[in-house]
Amino acid sequence: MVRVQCQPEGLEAVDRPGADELDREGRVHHRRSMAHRTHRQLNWGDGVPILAPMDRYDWLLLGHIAGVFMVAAGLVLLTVAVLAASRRERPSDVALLLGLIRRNDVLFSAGGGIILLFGIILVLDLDEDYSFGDGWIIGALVLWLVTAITGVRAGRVYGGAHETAVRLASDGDRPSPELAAMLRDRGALLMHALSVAAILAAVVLMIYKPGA
Amino acid sequence: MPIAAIRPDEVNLPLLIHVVGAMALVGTLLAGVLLLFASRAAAGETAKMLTRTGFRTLLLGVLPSYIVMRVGAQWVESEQNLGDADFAWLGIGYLVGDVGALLTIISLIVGGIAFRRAGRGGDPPRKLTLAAGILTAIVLVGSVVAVWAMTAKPT
Repeated sequence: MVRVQCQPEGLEAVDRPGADELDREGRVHHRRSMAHRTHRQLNWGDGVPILAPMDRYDWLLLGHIAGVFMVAAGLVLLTVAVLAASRRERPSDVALLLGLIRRNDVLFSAGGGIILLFGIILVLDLDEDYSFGDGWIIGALVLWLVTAITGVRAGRVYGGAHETAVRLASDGDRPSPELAAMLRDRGALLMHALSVAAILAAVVLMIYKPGA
Repeated sequence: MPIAAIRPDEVNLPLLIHVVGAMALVGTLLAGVLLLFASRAAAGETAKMLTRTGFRTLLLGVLPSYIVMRVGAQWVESEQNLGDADFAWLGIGYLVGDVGALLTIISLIVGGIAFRRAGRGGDPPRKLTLAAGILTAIVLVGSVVAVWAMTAKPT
């Protein structure tokens, strides 16, 4: 087993399969293969994995985090498509690459809506622990708004670039300074960078929950 | 009880690294799948361009994201002394992580061969591009399952 951190100083590790490790506090860390651990943790001893049912909190948290992953996937997809498209000259290539993100608004709008909906229900459900007056929750809501506004603005420019590329592709497919300028638009790039930064900052707030 | 109330502060940084890596991994996997499948449907220079972009996405996006996600996961496990824990969600995470790593490496090799052949002037082999796309799609589905397991912790 690889220990990335927290390997206590003075650890008496015996480097052979099956040996145990003893840390400073005297805790025993059993050295087992990854396959053995996976098998054991899934409780496959009787052939059937044992998974407990999810409660309301689990479902709400799953919905909330699924929304975050949808928005993050949309942002990464947009980044890859724009980076690749800005290196191409032929409008048909650009149209194809930006065409990959033409359904991205579904990821953004559905993901963004799910984040907000499930997040609000979570706060209402856990009213003994959290409230809408908590600084980190207010911060997260503001960052959600920033992501939405900047994402829409960047999406508009790149959506326009896609339409231009499609038009130019059917009109001779020759390189166009207009298309190149749209793909290198500093404003759109800044908006996109801001939406990435905002979603990362929101994740930081969700994990650290300052003041909670 | 909310998870936040029982999570020690020392876990926050490794958890952040793990989550950010996982977010980037899901996004780059999605991009890789779309590019490789689009490449199979295209022809000539367009197919070459999509294969190259798909392979680069796997190499420069998926692989680094996987490493960040996996290092974060191991760090969290180390901080929380989960080495001997008997949790199904942890098992699912290991299973998806380890099998996913193997499939990612195979799809990188397969995609790399297609990438090289495309670079030599010939058309990228469709079967290899399809194979790389399918393997990447399997890893993507596995990653979504892992997100469910890590979030809902069904133990």
